Amino acid sequence: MPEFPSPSLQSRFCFLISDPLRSLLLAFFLLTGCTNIAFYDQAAYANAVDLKVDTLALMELAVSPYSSQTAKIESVNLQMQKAYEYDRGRPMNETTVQLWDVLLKTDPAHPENGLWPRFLERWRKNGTLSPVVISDKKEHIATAFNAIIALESGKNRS
Amino acid sequence: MPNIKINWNQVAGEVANLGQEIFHQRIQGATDNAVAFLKMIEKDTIKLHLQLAAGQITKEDFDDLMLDQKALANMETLKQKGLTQAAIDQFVNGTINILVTAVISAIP
Repeated sequence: MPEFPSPSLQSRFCFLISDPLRSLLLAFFLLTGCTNIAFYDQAAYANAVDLKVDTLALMELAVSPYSSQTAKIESVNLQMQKAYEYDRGRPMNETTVQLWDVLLKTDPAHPENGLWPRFLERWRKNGTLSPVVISDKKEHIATAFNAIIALESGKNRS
Repeated sequence: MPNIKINWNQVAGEVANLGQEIFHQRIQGATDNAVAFLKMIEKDTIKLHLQLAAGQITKEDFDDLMLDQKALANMETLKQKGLTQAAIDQFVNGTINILVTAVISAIP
């Protein structure tokens, strides 16, 4: 145990570790190391809202052949990829990324995942979709985006 | 040595009030969301069964739409998990503020 060089420094150290302050400092350092989730991010929120609008607008076009809409489909897919990568790059943002995964990524172990690619696959396979199916699917995709938007909106402001 | 006196009873009371406020809101929010989600799923399921019976959607469409519901339930769970994580962070930050304020006001 090293000796303190002077009584004044030792006195200051004793002040720092006096009983109530020691507890306080301990609590402080424990608590500051306990952040659970990323702060709210305006760009991430805007990405999700914009994508929701664009995606639902694209889904309306599924009454026409898939092959006639490939440019618009690719454009929306690219925007989705950008939004996903943006959220994936944010620290402490695993829960939001998991939400995007359910929406965007197919997983053989979880056949329910990949809401969006499953819609595209049905459209591509069938050529066109009926207005009833499109309407049902739009409700589901909107609900999925709402979950991402609600979580971002509910995060703490820094 | 400086004579620092922190009112620990007051600090504990403020932290308890903060926790009660934040977590009461979170529990209420989670409950309201869960009820709204279950009602939405119930309504959607009835609608899909009626559409299937009326021949407006195929069995394949129906199965796919029911899979969507499972995915949406997973997303709702993840959303609630995230919002609870945010509430815990809010409580931690609020507690730190209370502690720091208590120390500053105790320094003579």
